[in-house]
Amino acid sequence: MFLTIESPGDELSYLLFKHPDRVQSFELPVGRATVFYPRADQAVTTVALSVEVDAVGLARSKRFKVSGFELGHYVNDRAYAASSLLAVALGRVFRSALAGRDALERPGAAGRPRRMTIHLPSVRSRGGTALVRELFEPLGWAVESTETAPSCVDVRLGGELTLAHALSQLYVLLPVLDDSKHYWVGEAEIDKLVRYGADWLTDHPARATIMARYLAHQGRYVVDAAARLAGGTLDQDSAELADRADPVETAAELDQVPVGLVDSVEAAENAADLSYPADLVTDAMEDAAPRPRTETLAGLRTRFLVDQLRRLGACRVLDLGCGEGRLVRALLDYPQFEVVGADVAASPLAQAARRLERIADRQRQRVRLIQASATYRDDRFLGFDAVVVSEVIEHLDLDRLEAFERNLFLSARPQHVLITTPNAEYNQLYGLATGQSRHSDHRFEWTRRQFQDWAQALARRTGYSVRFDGVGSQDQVLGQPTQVAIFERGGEV
Amino acid sequence: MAELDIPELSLVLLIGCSGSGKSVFAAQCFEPFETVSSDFCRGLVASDPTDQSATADAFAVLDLIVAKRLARGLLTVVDATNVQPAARQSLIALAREHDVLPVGIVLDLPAGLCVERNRARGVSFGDEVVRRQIKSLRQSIKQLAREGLRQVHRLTSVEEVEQARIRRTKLYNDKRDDHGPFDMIGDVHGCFDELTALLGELGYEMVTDAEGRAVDASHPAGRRVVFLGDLVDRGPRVADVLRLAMGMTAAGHALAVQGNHEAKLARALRRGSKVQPTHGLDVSLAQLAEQGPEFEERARLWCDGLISHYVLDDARLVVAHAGLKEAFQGRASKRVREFALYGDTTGESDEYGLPVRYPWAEDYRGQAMVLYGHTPVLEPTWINNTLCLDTGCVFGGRLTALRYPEKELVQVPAAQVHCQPTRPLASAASDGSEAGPSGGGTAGAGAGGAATRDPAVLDVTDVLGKRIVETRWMGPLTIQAEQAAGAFEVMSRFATGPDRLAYLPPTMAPVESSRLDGYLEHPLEAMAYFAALGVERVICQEKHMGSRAVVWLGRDEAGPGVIHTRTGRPFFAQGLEAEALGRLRTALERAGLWDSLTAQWLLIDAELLPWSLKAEGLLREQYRPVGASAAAMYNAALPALERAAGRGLEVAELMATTRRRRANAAAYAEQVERYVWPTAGLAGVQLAPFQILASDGAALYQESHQWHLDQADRLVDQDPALIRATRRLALDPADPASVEQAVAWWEELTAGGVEGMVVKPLLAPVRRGHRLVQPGLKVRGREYLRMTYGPDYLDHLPELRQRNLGFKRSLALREYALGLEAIDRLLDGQPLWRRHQAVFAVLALESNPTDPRL
Repeated sequence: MFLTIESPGDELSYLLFKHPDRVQSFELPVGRATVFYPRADQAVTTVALSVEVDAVGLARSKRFKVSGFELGHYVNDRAYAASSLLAVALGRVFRSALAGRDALERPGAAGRPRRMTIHLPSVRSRGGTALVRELFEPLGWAVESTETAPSCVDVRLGGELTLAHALSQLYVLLPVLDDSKHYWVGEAEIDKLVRYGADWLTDHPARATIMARYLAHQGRYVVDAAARLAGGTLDQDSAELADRADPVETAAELDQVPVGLVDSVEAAENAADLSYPADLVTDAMEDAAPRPRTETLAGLRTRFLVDQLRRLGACRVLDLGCGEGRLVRALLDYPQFEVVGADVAASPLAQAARRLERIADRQRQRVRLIQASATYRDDRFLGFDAVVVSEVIEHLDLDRLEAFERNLFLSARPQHVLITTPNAEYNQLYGLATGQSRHSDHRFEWTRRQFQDWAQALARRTGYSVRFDGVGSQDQVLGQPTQVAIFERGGEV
Repeated sequence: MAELDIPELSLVLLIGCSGSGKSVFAAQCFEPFETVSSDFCRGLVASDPTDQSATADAFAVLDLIVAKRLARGLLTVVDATNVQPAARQSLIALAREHDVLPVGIVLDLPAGLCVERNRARGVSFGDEVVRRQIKSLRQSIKQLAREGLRQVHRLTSVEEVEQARIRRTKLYNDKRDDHGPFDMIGDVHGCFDELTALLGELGYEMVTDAEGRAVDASHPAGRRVVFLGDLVDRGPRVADVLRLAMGMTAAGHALAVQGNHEAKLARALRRGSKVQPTHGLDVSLAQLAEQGPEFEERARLWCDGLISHYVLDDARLVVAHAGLKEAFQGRASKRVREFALYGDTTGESDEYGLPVRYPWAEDYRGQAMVLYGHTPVLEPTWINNTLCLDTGCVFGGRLTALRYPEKELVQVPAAQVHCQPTRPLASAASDGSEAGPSGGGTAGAGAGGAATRDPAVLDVTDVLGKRIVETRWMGPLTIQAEQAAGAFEVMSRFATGPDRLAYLPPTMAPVESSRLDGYLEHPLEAMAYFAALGVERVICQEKHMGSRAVVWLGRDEAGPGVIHTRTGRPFFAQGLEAEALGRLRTALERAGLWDSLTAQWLLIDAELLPWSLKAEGLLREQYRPVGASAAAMYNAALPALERAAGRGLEVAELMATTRRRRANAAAYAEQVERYVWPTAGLAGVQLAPFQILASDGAALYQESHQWHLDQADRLVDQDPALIRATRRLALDPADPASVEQAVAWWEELTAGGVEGMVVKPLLAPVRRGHRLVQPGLKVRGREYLRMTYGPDYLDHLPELRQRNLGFKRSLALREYALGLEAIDRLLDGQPLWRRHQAVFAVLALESNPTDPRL
């Protein structure tokens, strides 16, 4: 990792507390940092910080096995691209400068803004050059940034700030660009953020992103930090908001927002959830009442399904493909429901379980989570009034639908089955090209005709009746974004 | 001295008041772990064995222990007072739940003695408690049998208690030490002529009495018959069949289990009974009446005394008239008997008014072979190690016997239709295969009256949870629940359908780390490994840098057709897959391989290129950014260092490091690009087959690798654009000249950008003692390894040489054995779930948190 700071005059070396004619090295936990001056004269001083990262050592070390930070791979760009590793090195090597300590030889200089050019030839930026500008321009920097590889940018910042501000902004924003840290993010990070961000973060337009990313999307940390930056403690409203924020969900969804164009629609469906921390931060800061937020399609679906299940008088409900348990959680608010959430993947189930840790014991007694899949016949599917299969079938290969039908409609045979799936016709309203799907893992997306043909044939084969419905805003021609089939068992096969 | 008979598998309730000496008695008569004491459980939950407030919790623990032991088939003794009916009732229910006989031993000692003993050991509760307990015990004694205890032993004096000895009796159904050989015969139903013909076929010699009636049959080789029940009713010569069977069992030449018809006949013959003479019972009653009352009574006693199932030959074989599921084998209870006699039913009736049978055999996962009759089928068909031998002789079908352990069928046709069936016969196989998706699951009244479950249906319990998979090449292999859970999503969401997934390839272990300067991997260690194990010939194969691919391909399009990755994911979209398979099929046809291998399908292990085809995401997200960010950084750092050097600063060392690392990064980036090239449809795609694992007729994995690659060459000749050759060199790993040649060859290959080579025993699998030898070791090129261990890995050789290969090697072997097992199970015609368990296990092992770079 490499960085240079160039500034007119010779004050820079005094403010950094590093002699311009010496080469100094510092042993850090992650490798060796070296400070030297490619140029140091009366006109211009340039300081360079080079960090040689011990990549193999880090990859083999258990200490740095933090999920999401790729040190665990031998092949990673951590030795080259600036990240939290460089931020930590900055904090160590330039500690006094970061604290704004005045040099004895130049009293008052630390507090004076100075012209500077900072060059970071290689920075990891999840958000590319646009994010670099979004983060640094509001702070008064002229940003030159080019992309050298996906998520990898060359950054040149020009501006006039105090050195301490410049360093503290790098200290905070390098890990924010990367959206990741090489160490565990605990409450101490709130202190750091408040300490280094106090002077410039409160008015930053991207403060929500900065806080969320810096605090690893831990919703409670974000709310806490926002309140402390706003100079107050949490008032009653904000505290309630914090409770409702459901940080686990937010964190998980942020993590799982797929990258790339094609995936952006499903991400947009969850958009209001994404903006949740932003709302919170703004509210806590401005001490204002929460703004009403538009309900997401996912939220509408949940509400629709809860309504339907109540209307059907279902008690025992299986949510097949429950993911992180959004519907499961919603159903538990109604005492008549006994819910089993099933998912094929262990990690969303673990998330769902964590979400359920915070509900009342009495509610928790009515819920169970299991790992299960429609590929396998499963006795645990027996005895339900209703089975919900929401936004699941499109993640199955078409040739697996037969097993799905057999295991659910013929073996388990619940009274009702509710299936939701995207309406492909509606995709053009999302600006998707014909044949393009909402999510890269969707194996197919059906028009209303295709879905209804399939559902009706299935119903005939298995002795069910079926009716159709939809969720989301209605288009005269293209229908609603989500289509729903509601099956009812009738007679024998 | 009192000898108390206790069934070998039973739940023994000690019944007696506090101080009656139950614990001492238990210690004297049973093994320590066999006794579960309520005081001990109180101690477990409350740290005080006398804490009466902990009683409820203590019994919850006690019940759990008892349940677990009974489920495992272990005799268990409950040391608690058990003087209250309610306390006994819950234990008796527990015994029933596990189909184990409940037995009581009552210690009925004088109250004074018990009070005295309690005082002596300082138990605090009063005499009154003891007297109350004794009162309730005395009131109970008479009703113990009514409560369901199958035996009650009562000991009334100190001497009796002290001298009592337990004699463990075998259950009637326990004939595990009878090893046969046997000839099992399905439902005879009075078809005497066919029975004698069948016995003749089987080599039995008839013995007749003075009146010329068959009264016994014996086999010169000492074989014995096992009648699978339903000898009587419906057919023309019920009395003659009975006479012969009774004679054979009496002479020890046959065993017989009770059929539902014997049970009903015995009831009908009992004086004053009211049994509907339907389903051919009238025939039996009429024929037996002709034989006179004495024969009638003998027949009644015999039919009544038959056991409902036997466990034979070290529990490798179970016989019961209507079959028996695993949990019931070797157990004794009313429902076990009912299952054995009547089979499993869904509780519904079909259109003929007959009970709908539940196809328990479809769910059977037990180790023991189960042979049975009861449901007539057209052809005996193995279903999960079970076989029905009732081929409807009385309805004009055949009388069938199975030789055990040979598993040979012997059949004689019915002389005529003796009786019209209520519903038409069907073969067992057609029940399943014709059911299809719409017939499975519920009350479809299929032919034969059996509710059917599609044999293609996999149950979640086949894969989830900890499992031991028995393999031919490595014995039992354990799959941990965590590993299974990890594989579950991949298998469910990404892999191709289980029916299309015959095999998953094993991972490959790298060679031992080289000690040569500047090398992490080198051919010398591979040669040394195989030479040390005495492998005489090895083959060095070019290792293609692509993606592992398995091809399962039928000669015609109706056969199998899939190309999948090492995790079972299809490589191509359907259209492209069909095109690729079509090209391969044609190449196989033109090369004459279908004919020379007389194959209808082939299972082929291969590498698919280019790497970039499947690794596009990795390339974009990981491999290329590393090269690009390294270049950007070094290109800025070097000029800065040069300027600092120009100022006279001491940066020489840092500059040298930076220069070296810049070169490393460039070498890395160059290496990455070697495995990247564009494809359009199949253009640019190449498949390098290196092993033909199996054809429909035979496992081919034991052929020499030279043979495999020769076959591959024939394919390359037919379609060189699609099919890529694999260069190789066969040699003796112990011969220094050969080793030198291998090293030179490897250096030449890797200098040309090839990933490296794989060294395999020419003939595999190889065993040394009980252990399998690695089927191959990979030796990767010096430059290539930058892509595995990072651009600067050569700076870190001492640390990297310490990589732990033991786990990776063990994993490679286990996956190898499981893969071969999957192939063998496929060729054995085993049901899908059995094959799938082996395939799934490979994926589960791959879901291990192992170091993925090795």
